[in-house]
Amino acid sequence: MNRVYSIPLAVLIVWLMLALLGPILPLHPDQIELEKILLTPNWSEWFGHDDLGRSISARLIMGARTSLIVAIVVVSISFIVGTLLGMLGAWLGGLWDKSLVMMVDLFIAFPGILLAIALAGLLGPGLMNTVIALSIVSWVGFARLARVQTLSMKNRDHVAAAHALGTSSFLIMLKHILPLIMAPLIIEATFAFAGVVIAEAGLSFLGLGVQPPTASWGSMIRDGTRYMLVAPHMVLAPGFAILSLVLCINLLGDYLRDKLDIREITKD
Amino acid sequence: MFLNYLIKRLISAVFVLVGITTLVFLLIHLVPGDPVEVMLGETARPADREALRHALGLDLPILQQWWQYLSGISHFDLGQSLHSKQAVTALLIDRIPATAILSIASLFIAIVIALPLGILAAVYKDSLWDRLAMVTAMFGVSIPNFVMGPLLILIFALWLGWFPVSGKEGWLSLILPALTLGTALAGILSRMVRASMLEVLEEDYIRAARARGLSEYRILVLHALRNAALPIITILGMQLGALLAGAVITETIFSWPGIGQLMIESIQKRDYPVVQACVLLISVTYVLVNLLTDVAYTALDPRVKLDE
Repeated sequence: MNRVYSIPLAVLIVWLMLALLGPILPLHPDQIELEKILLTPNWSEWFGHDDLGRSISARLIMGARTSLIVAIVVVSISFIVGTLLGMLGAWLGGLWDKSLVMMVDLFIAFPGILLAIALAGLLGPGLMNTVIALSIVSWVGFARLARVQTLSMKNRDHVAAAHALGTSSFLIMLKHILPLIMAPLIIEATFAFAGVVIAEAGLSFLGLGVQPPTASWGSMIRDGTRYMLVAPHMVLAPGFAILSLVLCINLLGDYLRDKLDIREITKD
Repeated sequence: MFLNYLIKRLISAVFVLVGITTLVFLLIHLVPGDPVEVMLGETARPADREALRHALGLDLPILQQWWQYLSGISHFDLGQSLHSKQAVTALLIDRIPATAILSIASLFIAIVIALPLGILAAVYKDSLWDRLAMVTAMFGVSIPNFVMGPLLILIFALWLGWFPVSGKEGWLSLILPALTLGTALAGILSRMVRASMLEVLEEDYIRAARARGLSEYRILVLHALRNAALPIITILGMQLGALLAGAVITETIFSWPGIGQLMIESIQKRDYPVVQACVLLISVTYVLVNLLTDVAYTALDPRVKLDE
């Protein structure tokens, strides 16, 4: 691995570890200390305190947990559902494929996270509804990619050979097609992961994501915008946290794309 | 040939539009429990509830509701706002100019940043300039607008005092929201400009232009950029969706009185007909712009094969 890319990998691992260990660490993300309200960063508290006197570093770590849990769950669901539907569409063809293409075209016609905002707004806030809203939006990319890739694999010789040997369709897809289309799907997953991190924070920023007192980077920024002149650290700390995570995932995605040498999936 | 393509493309667009409308129509049925109760609150009188249920057509069979919604839209009737009792269409028309101005300004900023950055990176491929430009682009892609916006407000409005913090008064107030929305697009766009320029610079006619001793400026702008422009414009059309969705958040940050702000306000007030209308308007705009760029692309570039 190129040494330059060990930096984003290290940052990603640090965030993952913090998120994983968050509940075990001696943190008090919800502890309100009135005498520490809006306290700026200092030696004992590197990132200062928020408008309720809560420790921002503790909330950053719990926010990382929220962010990464949502991202992992949403990307896993979308990956499995999208890949399954895409492969089935391409494999079965006919009406199945036509309906899949129609569904994909329909969902892609909604720009960006607009549909997620509307869904989260109507379903109501909360962790579960955030996951539902983002999964409904995210499966499409995987389905489209899996479909196109499976179509190109379907008529390969090794698939025909497996077919002739009496291998069932299910096994052919699982053993002879899925491994070959995995690389582009993993790259798609990387960028989807970055997208979900941004989308989750965006929903909480709008007040439509996880609810207080659960920490989320998006809602931390939202709270911070009210105190920007006296306590800019309330916005800067979660802002740079999101930037560091998203930037590192994007860099790793780029690295993977170059490494696996896959073109034609460069669309966002 | 082109006419056939046009008709085919139009028909598929109509299908997508009907699909979008159906999905937006179904949104209100996703509200957990009874949407009427959610909108009016638990303390509402039963008579008021029945009145609203009837006004929204929620007492009809679902197919009939759907048909009503579609036929309403066909003559620009999107129902009534629950909050202000105004026609939703009037509310939207009120807000369209602000969003349009913001989007156009952001698009302009994105192009002004991305063209030089992308061309620089392509011409000096693999050099320090290329790396710098692409790292900058990567930052642009990775900063969400709800981080960029507050950051710009902090630096340029609160500390330096050059621009107003929020609102829409005079053209100075346009700069920060447009920058916020434009930078994300600029990041994606400059990568695309670089990619299409790299492809074009490999072509024979560029080598021919070099052999004829044309100046580097003429080669880049008149020969290379002109040919790279078409794919770039298509990408711009595709990215307009992200731009419009980003406008929802950006308008909320800057209290910019556009469609996005209306949508978030309406979500908070549980004014669902207005929420539906905002989603519909933004999505339809996106589909139509994409249709337009596609058709323009096909019409302008003789190399595009129509039967694909």
